[in-house]
Amino acid sequence: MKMSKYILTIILMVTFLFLWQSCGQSGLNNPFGVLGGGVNGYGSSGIRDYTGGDNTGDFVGTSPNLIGTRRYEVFQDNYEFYRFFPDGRYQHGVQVLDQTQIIDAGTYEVNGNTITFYPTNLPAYSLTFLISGNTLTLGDTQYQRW
Amino acid sequence: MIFQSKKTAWILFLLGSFLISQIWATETRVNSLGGTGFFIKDNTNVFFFPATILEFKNQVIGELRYPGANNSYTLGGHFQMGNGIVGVYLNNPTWLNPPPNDYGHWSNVELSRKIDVIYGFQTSSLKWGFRLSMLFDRAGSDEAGAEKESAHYLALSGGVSGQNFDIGLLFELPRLRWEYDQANDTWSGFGLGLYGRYFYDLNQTIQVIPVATLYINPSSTKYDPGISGAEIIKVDLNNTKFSVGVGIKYAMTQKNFFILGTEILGYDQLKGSQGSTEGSLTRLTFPAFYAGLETWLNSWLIARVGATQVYRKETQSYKYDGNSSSSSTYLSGFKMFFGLALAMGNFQLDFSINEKLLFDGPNFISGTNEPISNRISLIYNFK
Repeated sequence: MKMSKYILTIILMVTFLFLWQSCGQSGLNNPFGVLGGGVNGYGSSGIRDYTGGDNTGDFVGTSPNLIGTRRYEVFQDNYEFYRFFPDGRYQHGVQVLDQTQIIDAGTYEVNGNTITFYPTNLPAYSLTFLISGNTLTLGDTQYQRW
Repeated sequence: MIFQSKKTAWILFLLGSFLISQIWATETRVNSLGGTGFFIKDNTNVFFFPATILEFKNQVIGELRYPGANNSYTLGGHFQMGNGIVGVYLNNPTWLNPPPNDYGHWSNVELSRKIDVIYGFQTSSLKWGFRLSMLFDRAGSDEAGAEKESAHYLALSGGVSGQNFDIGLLFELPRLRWEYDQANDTWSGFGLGLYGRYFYDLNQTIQVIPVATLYINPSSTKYDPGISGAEIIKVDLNNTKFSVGVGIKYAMTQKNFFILGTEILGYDQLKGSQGSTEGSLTRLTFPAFYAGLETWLNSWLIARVGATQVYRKETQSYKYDGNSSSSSTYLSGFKMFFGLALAMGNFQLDFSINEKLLFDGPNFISGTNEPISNRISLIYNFK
């Protein structure tokens, strides 16, 4: 057997082994690995992310992009926020004097620089987004990491 | 007849096609090809493998990453200088998201956009390249005791490339600091990265490309309230990443190819500790597939299709006062990308296409306000 066939056979065997281990999972809306995918085309190899996860005091982030909570101060101590979970869910709500009220919640999908929200209580809607440091620009509004 | 013979016309045509084929490259391209940047030769390689700049000389590159947002744009150029090539990039993303600050101490400065200077030269059989990246941002008053914030980023990268291999080494120093009177709050550390790939020609049409990457970044945040006897709060952070993968490139013709990159194992761990409390998030990718197809539809139009399929295990662990807990989640996801490029002489425009418009139709049919393209790259080759 030629060397090339050996290499291809090994690659196929390893692939099937991992696929068998991994089948039946879901929930990754923005799929990228360490080596590939991702907004810069090189996966997370070129991305260093230390952002907080979900305002629970975690030390670590869960995604270089959206995951976590960001809020916008509508006026003093009154906030509008978006919270993105790693399993593809989101919450959009307001916080007034530490009282939180959810406006819409459901699942979201990232497509390039556009997020499409699929709320359970409203029709689907799309917004463009940009992340720069701690700032998430969603449509025309800038949300700061919370 | 413009050309004296058909043969001359064909030679000029083929030469022109070859010149055009040499300028395919941009961030939009690697994105449209499923994020296969490590597995293909592209001018975005220069940030991981600086010596590859010698393969992309005399170019001006524009990256327009977000519609209408100037701060997401990058302008770069590669220029011949003596026996070497100099590259300069303005407003280039660092792709660095620093840790959040509970007190908002770093909210007025950003570690987001840097300036890159790259230099590459060739010795007898090897190419060498070096990159210097820097960023400086500052907010607040210079008066003594006044509140001020600053952001610094410095990176040095070196690389060596041969006929069939590329190696890159990265050293970077990010730093954020807030000061007010006697109080200060700082995040700093260093990053060290090592990247390598090899192009092995199995035969004239199939190429096997093993790739490996390693990155470590220990850092810490330190908050000193500046009050005598008050506790200094220090959090240590550590990011470790490594990955191994293999790509298979199938070249249908000289210019049309299919690439399949398989990430056999990817490990990405972020760890934090404060005193006896520890937390970590470990993302294990096993495996991930990145596929891309690039084909010339005619002499000026290039189509690209890409896909990623990622299988990942995420484990979150905590330790607190001797107690520990750990939970794991298995996730997977699949995504496709579409791209088009227009090649007009030495000028090329790359578009990442919003595929929703293929389903819904443009505004006059569906009323949608979504843009046709998510991002655009342009490149001008002035050979």
